[in-house]
Amino acid sequence: MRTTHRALYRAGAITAGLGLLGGLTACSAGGEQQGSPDNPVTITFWDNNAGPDRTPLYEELIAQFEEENPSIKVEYVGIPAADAPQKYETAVAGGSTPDVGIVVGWMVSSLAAQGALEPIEERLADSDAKIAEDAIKAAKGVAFDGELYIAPMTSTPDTLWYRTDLFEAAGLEAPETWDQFYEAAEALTDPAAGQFGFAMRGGAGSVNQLIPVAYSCSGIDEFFEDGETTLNDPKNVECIQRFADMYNVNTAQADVGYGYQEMVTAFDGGSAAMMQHNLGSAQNHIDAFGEGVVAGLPMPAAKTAGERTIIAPTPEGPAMFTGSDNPDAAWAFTEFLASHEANSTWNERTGQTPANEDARQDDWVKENEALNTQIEALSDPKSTIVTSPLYLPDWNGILGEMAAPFQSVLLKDITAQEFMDQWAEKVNTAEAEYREQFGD
Amino acid sequence: MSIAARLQAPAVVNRGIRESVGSRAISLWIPLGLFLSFTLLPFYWMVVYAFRAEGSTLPLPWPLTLDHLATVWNELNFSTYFLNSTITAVFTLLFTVVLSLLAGYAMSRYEFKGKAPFMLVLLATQFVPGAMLLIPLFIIFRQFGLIDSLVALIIADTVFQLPLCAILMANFLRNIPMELEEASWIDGCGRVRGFLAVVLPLLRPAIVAVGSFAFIGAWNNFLFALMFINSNDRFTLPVGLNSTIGEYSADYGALAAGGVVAAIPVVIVFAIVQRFLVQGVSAGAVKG
Repeated sequence: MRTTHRALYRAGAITAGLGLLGGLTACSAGGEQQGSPDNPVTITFWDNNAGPDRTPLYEELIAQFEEENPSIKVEYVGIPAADAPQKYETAVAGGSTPDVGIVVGWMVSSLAAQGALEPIEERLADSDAKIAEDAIKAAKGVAFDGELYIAPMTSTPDTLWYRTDLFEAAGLEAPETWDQFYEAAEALTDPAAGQFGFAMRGGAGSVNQLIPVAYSCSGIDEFFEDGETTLNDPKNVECIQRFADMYNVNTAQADVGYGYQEMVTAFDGGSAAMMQHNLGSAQNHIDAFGEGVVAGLPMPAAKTAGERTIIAPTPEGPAMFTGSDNPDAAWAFTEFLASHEANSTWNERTGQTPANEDARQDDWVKENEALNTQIEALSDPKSTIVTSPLYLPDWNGILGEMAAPFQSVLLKDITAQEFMDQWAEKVNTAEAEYREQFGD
Repeated sequence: MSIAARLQAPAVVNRGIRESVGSRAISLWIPLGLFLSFTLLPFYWMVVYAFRAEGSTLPLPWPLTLDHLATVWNELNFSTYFLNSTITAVFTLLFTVVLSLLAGYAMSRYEFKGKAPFMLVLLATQFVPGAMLLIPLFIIFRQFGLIDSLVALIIADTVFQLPLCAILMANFLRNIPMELEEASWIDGCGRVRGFLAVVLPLLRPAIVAVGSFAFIGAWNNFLFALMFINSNDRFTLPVGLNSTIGEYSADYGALAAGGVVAAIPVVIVFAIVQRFLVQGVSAGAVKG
């Protein structure tokens, strides 16, 4: 009798287990589901930069999309910006990716090389969403195979933010060239009054910002020459040395540890007259000073105002993942985010450059001086655009590794030459490995 | 003793007391005060930002407001995160305590082949960072259909807490004389009943210590919650807190209010169990 009970329990357990497995299999098999307003298909959407600004914005856009597409439900998952790369990589390695996720340019190659992203060029060609040619080019440029994997929504060119009130009071001209920049930094530094010419990012994220500094100052127009990086070209080294020499002279001593938040707090708190970042921090400056007090310019020119060397801004946008069970629904949402209306709303709220051609013609763009200046500079024939190797899977790791050596330059433990040589060696190694793997 | 000596005696005593107070201040109170201020300052900052109205720059929570708390609780989904954190931490505590009791009992009362290497391996697992096991754990949980489920968090947290807790429990059990158990067997109890009736009540400080470690470890775990969960409605408090910081901006009021929400249960747990915790940790730490 006891044996019979045990057998029954076993049989029950096995049946329950099989039932559970069957249920799980049923959920994951069977191809694309067709949704209807009564029974909508659900897709997951990962936001790589969840926070007080972006989360409400996406929730608003999702509500609008769901109203226009009642047969699709979008489940928003907000991922803190600092942890998004790890979350994506773990999900890809574990085979549990979202349907759609916002992917920033430097992550595209790594994810696409693992086969996680769906090429979208054909779908985009058939779409009503008109993406600007420069944005498409930048988005293809970040992929290891030159394919289009993200529908670019925006790009964030490096911007030199400066306090117009302080410049006017000191009788200084806007920092259009590097000489004007250093002259202003010197003139607007008064340590006794807690006032410095520049808020420098010496901590996390510092090295990303050094590339525009080096190339806009040196005017070197190629990142690679004969397969070797130009990073440690003597002109770039001289520019970085001059820049680093400002530390603790025209900057506060604490700048050596500044990440993004600390740098913006210093600038928006009024203790620095200039700061280098991108258009993403525009709203913070308006919140701190009101309209018209802070202006933004592209990075200064090497010698002559207007003749700029610009590092191509990093594109960002939604990507469709190959693991999606609902690619058509995933594309519908991707296309929506790339559309004129959604792209315009998103960029107006974040103060960034729209990638949609029609959104770039909207009134709010024309009224935003910093944004307009950036768009004009990018399309100015006198500007030279230099593309950094965002396609290198190791690129972001290299930037992270070089942050501590840059602090050593600021603290005068090593020279800019030593720093740039170290950096160049890492980039050359990564580039050689990349060429070996993917060819030219 | 002469009259003069008698008159001088209190002065000597007073000087002794003064010196003792002075040296105690230098060796104890000042370092403790400094340590406390370093520890409490971030908490003070958190309380000020959580309860101070927007726009105020006073170093006090004034004008007092509950708006930030209401925002994080109602609008930023912290009520759900709080519930998820509570479920995860409570179940992790229960499983860790039960399993570490069983493992600790076996390690302290039985001799078996490979016991020493086994304990060494248990200890060595503490040197493996959670991030290293993320992908294998992710694949295992996915195969069992546990991704995006709090069960995955409870299992992962329990597995990571268990080795240290089992070693602590074993060390504590070694301090309880075997004769007590043997006496219960003579009185007619079996091993299980003897353990429950005699040993378990004596293990209260150890259970509290192990339970606290497990609860707080699970409550604060950010990495597993972020990696194994894929829905906003199943995230836990640490992920919610991180989501108040964007790449380009941070809502400090919400961040601080969220910090208060996350800290309260831990503070309460410690306030209740701190007496047992000290006993448990020190008892478990004596023998190796």
